[in-house]
Amino acid sequence: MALFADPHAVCKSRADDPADTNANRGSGGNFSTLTEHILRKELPIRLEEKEVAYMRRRDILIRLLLLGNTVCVLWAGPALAIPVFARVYDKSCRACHTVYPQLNPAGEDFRAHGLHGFTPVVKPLKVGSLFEVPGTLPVAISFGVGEDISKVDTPGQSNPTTTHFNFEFLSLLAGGELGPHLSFLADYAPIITNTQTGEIQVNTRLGLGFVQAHAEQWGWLTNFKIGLFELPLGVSPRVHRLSVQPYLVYGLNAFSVLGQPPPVHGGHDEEGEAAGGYGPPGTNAFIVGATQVGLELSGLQPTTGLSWALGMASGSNNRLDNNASKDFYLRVSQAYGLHKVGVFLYYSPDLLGPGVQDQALRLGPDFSLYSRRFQLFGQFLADYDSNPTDRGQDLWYYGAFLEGNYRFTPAVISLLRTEYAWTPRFDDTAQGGHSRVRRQLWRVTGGGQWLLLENLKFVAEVTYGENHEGISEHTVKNWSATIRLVTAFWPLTPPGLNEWLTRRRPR
Amino acid sequence: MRGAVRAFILGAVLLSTSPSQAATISGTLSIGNTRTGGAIVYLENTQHAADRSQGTHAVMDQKDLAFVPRVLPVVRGTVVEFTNSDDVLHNVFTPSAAAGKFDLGTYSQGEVRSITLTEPGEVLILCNIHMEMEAHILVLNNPYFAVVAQDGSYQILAVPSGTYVLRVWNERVLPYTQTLQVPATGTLTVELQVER
Repeated sequence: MALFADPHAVCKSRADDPADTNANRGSGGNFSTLTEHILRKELPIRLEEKEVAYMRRRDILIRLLLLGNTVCVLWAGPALAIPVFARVYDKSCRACHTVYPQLNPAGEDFRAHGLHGFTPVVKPLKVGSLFEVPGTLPVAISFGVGEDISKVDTPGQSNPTTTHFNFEFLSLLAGGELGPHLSFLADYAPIITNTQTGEIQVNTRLGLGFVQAHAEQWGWLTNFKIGLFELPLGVSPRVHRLSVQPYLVYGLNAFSVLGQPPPVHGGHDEEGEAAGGYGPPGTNAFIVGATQVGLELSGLQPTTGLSWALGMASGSNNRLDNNASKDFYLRVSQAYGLHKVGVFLYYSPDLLGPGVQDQALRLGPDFSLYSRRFQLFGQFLADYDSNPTDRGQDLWYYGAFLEGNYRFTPAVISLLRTEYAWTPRFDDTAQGGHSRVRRQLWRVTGGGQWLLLENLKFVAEVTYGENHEGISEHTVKNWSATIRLVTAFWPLTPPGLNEWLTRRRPR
Repeated sequence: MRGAVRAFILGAVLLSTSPSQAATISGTLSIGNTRTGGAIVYLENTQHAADRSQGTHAVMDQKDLAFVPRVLPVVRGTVVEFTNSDDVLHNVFTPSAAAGKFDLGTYSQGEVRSITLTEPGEVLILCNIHMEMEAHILVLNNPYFAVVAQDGSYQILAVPSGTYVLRVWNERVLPYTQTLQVPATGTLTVELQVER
């Protein structure tokens, strides 16, 4: 979710992007959509009778869905009501998660083994010597329902607080082994909600989807994956992030910092614009927190804790590449027991489409400290764009966050995160441009999560942030809060295909 | 001849100080008004405080995301082996000063790591990865202890005669002590009722 509404800035992260399903899964509010309203002078929003009726019907539908899901979860029992891996391997969620989706070190180990390492209880079907398919439908459903509250105060204007009872997201998760050396993982959210307006939208883009090959040689665990996947950041927005808030530093790009669209059309969300202007232009330009189309080779040496990942990506998030150049990235990290330090480097010869060349660099260290009760992790990123406004003026901007998670009990966890991003003065007016920006963004998020069941959690969070543009001395203040129920389950567990195929017919 | 006399005298002394006869202590334990298992009933006696169990091994497994057994009494000097029967990573550590706050690290299925527990006291065993995993090792000075069965019954065998302090340990009950005079032979029945 983004975070800062300012007539001079269009800071928008992937939570507002229908294609980034995970970010939407976590979205707690939608300030950037509100920004659009502000820009279009549509506030205060007046609801027509039809809209009220629609919202009533929607709320009834959401409540029915919630009730139905609760019945499914409770009725199915712990062995059946859990998603893909837990079902195939007959494992408790807590084997690999602290509070889902956040992985614990055992989950990280499973991930490092290329999603291998457990013995499937539901036997796979062999197709040749090296290839298998899961012995059951490797799919799970995840969705969240809750109340979102937000308020944005722009300079000279205090806007009303908005509240919405939202069907936050619906997502299909799939994954599993495809033999001793192959695996796959996919995530698709067919329905997402604009948390600010409550508008439910249909999404056609995959959030995650890759095939991975795994080998263990000379003391190294190596994985090669191809498809749509996360960049190997120190703190993964998908498997480390507990908060419903995406990371600010991972959601920024030069255009959101400057508050203007890219100078060429290649970075625009053409489909979004065609569909009614969902999202300001330029918001689909590359951000490190979005999944990328590409390929990656990675290795981990368990004895030393050294790991690396080297890859090539399109740099166009989960869309087809917008230019011919390919981006490269490298991450190196060193583990000390369960703690880790690392550094990430991303280089793009050209982030934009044809006609304008904008070289980009993302570079920064990260760390994570892990203990039974407490986790602390942080990231610093220095970002560089050589030509974001096509005026030959380069831009540096920086961002960092620090987050702590504390577990009071195995089922109750709290979180506190502070984030800060800034750019020194950028002025391309001497080159004929019109951008004069010196921006500071900060945000604090606090909250907690309570595991009511292994696969059903209650989430409560509050966020406050400010977006200060130093040249015009404009400050936008915003806060948001959310309470929601989130679950992941699969309502039907048919007999394993192996058992079904090999069972004898009754005489 | 002088050597034989010395041997005879030494043997007589040893026989007079070592338990030639022993009794059994048995009974039931009720916590509140409910017979409950899982507690440890043990004896303390300064006369036998020097007993050690050098080289004795005990095993605590990690299976289905739990330590098994959850409560383990050992005599000091015992080598406790921590096995991992799960196919997920586990870690074994303790914050207890009595055991030197050891951390055996993180390891996978099939691996065994061990520690020798030399100091008496309660040792809380935790897994750094799975917060809900918890176990207790009680390091004792002598082998006169019993783990209370699920029906509340217990039995301490081969207790030399003498005066002892009987204690009950359970993570959820108040400390309990009782002085006992153990006879030379036979069974001494001691019904125990402790409060939470």
